[in-house]
Amino acid sequence: MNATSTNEARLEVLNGPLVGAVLSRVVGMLAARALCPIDRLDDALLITDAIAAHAGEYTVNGTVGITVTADEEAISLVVSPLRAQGADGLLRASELPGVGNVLERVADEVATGRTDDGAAELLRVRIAFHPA
Amino acid sequence: MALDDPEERGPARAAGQELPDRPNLSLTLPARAENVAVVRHAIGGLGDAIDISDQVLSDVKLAVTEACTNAVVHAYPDGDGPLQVAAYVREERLTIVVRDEGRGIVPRTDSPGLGLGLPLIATLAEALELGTDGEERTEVRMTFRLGDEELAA
Repeated sequence: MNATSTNEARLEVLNGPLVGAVLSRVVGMLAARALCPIDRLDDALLITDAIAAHAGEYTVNGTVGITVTADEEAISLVVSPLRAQGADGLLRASELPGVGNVLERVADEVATGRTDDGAAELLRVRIAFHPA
Repeated sequence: MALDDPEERGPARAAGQELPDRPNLSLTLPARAENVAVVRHAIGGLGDAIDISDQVLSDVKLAVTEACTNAVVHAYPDGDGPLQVAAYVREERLTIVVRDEGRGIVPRTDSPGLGLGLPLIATLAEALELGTDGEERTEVRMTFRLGDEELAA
């Protein structure tokens, strides 16, 4: 994979209605540009909506920050920085009665961790275009 | 450097005002042609969430597209670099700042374009400023009045 086949966008939005409106469009465009199959694009937007609906409750400073990376194989979302217990909180917030956890059911990989400087938490979600 | 006429714009002119520390929206991505459409869609999402008329949103999209295209074409002649678009909504106005870390806005005798981008932005926006920010990034700052007051007048 060469450098130009990977596209990465960093989105920071003040918590509020802008988050969902802008994030879904950015994810949709990057996924489409990466030739994401239509069924997985639908899945990616479902995950995007779940994150946008709850991320604001777990931010450090009132700004929702999301890095979206798309390549030939997958689209990944990293939500950061999140406050202490924020990554787990955001993950749990995506649970639906009778359905389970939307992120875990739809995404290929879901992981929590810390930012590079260790100061905050992050949630990483990867949606493969052609799941194994 | 401001391209609009302060005398003509009157006291409502928003250019030159300090912007808040944090924008309502910031999008940073590689300055590639394919990403101009991503920015345009993001601005469309912004339009869904704020009170803005279709006409003004159309002007905003066109102006931002022109500014981003300028960055893609001129900022990094030797490769790739970042393109940042930040939006500030305040006092009935929308200010959008397009920044890059390229070589700045300089005349080009070999320019592939027609040179109409900045005049077009100046026509569409209430105010346009060109310059650098505190981190020496090239900055195109456009301010739009939200609503259709001028059309109704």
